[in-house]
Amino acid sequence: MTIDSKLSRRDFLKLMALTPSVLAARPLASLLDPKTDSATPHILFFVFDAWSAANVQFHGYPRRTMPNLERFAERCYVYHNHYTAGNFTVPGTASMLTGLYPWTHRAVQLTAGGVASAHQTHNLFAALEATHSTLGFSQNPYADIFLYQFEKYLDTYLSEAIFNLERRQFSSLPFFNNDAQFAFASFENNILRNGKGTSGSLFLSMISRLNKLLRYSRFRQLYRDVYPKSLPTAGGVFLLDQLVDGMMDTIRKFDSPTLAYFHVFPPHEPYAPNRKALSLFDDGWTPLEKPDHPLSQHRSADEMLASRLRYDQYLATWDAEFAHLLDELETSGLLEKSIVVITSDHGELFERGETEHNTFLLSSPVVHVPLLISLPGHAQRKDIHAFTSNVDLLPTLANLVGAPAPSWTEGHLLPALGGEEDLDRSIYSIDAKTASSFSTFEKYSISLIKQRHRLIFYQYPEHSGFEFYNMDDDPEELRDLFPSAPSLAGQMQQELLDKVDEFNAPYKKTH
Amino acid sequence: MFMLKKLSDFLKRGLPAKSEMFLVLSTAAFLIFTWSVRTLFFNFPAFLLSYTIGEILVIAAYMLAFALFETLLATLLLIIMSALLPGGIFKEGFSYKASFFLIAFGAVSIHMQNVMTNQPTTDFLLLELGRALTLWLVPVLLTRYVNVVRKIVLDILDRLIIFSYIYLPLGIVSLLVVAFRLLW
Repeated sequence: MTIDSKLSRRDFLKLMALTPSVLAARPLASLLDPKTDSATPHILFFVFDAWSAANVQFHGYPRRTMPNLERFAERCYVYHNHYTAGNFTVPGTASMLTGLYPWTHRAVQLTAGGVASAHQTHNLFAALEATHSTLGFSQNPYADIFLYQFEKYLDTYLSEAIFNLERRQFSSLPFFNNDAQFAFASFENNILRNGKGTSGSLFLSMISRLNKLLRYSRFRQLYRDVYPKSLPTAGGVFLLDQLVDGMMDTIRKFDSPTLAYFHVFPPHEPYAPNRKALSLFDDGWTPLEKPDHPLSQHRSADEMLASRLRYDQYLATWDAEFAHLLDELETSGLLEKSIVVITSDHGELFERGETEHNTFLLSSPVVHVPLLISLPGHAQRKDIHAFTSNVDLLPTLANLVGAPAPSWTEGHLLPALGGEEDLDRSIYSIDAKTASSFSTFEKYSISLIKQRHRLIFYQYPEHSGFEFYNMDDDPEELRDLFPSAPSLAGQMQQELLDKVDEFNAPYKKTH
Repeated sequence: MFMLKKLSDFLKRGLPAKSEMFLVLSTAAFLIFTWSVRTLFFNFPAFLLSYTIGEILVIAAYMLAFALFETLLATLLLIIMSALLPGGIFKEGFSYKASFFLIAFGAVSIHMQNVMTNQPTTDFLLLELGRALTLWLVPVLLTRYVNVVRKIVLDILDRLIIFSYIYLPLGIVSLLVVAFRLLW
């Protein structure tokens, strides 16, 4: 039997008669799509780069650096003991977006290598693509590499420079859209490096650098009244108010439930407090003195103090600007239709002879970050003191919007949002920036939190050893209990070393 | 028509001989590609930590394609300078004058890449410019007035041509790889 595939005039007219009913049914069909379900909340995921819980008053800091966020926290789930899995952008962001620890996703160096290919399908955008439209934006080029990697799960990708005063990165030219990750790895990391040290280009790198400095100097002149010390700079110069306005404009355009990931550069260095904030915190307060760590860069006390002051002032500047976005979310009613997450990829350090986060240290301020979660219909602050990890965010968000929990995540549901506090749970942070993604980690720093105690292990030729702290009695990590050999320290030591063996095992060469 | 003839005459008068242009292209390729390859090898151990060999080859393709672009641009700029400046400055002895120009400014660029802070002073930039001009002028004068030096320099430049036969095709292949990745 053969089927005549030719369409007769009569058939065509019959089909045409159906057209109005098809058009009428379209809105009905969209009701079945969860992405257009008005009851599904937006997820507004804000990451403030290099934001330490140690410098925020609602986590116990004596300086009131972020009063507006403190006000916002009154309606949030406030996680007081939230730790990132890495101590700088690459591992910290990768863990947050994949729900995997660094030894699994393997993004551990300051390069554009990204997560291992086996895990490129394991990410927040993939986990929520059935329920949400997805949008990704990162001002930090080293977080942007993950958005390149997860691009097929992003409905909207915003370039890192979109809210900047200038496009500084050669690789962010639209010309390179098809190969952005490797264009970044080639140009920004090698050919036209924007800083001291040799570049792959003999002549044009120097011309490009001089041109950037000249442009920066012009912007400095232009905005000296607002930013007397330095200008906010990520991939290029930007203004905090324009960044906030840009994000708000983007959010206003959402016409379906959207997961929007906004990874903003502030308060990452260079710290750029505005004129008003420069007069803040002239209070004579000095932090607790802590001994220099053997792996630190041995910064002087004055240097650490000055750096901390500038960071605190920049936090206050950013807080005042970001408050406009929070206010607008509230007045527009968007806050009641959104899950808002505010957190960081890693912290910042001004102690033990170290500043910022270019460090091997895993002292709390560099991995302990704020986490605020606001839910629609929830207007009362809830303080959670259980220890949590940033690998927990992905499964928790999936759970909150009713998406199936991904089987591959190493995170748990956050307490009070589907999970419960488990004192026996093991929470890790690791730094292995000198290790290879393709072999065993030989030189690394790793910490384990369990039963409200923290064990840190440094494994370097220059320094190797354990530190052990009771986080309830000694949150400043001043009294190392390891030398007194408490039994819990011994158990945790064994567990930590077993974990290292476990994650190194697949990479060990067999002879 | 009259304007075209005028332009053609101007180019004939101002442009150096083709053989000299090719010598300069070879010197530029030698300096720029060698520096690019050196940077690639310098970064290679770090690349091995986070990229596969295939990915490293992609980065190498970008670097060599850019080196090709930089080589052509540098040569073109020197040819334009030769056409615009009085003949005595660049056109006569173009091969060695332009080559020493590339060497002098290349050396100063490497020096600046290592020492320049993010707030360079005008004095610093003027000093570096002075260094580059001195580094250019001294060998140019020696080559111009000392016959032995002249012979050695021209012999070396002649031998550098071999690098253009290696580097330029490598640059073209790399450019094709990059174009393929960007277009498909």
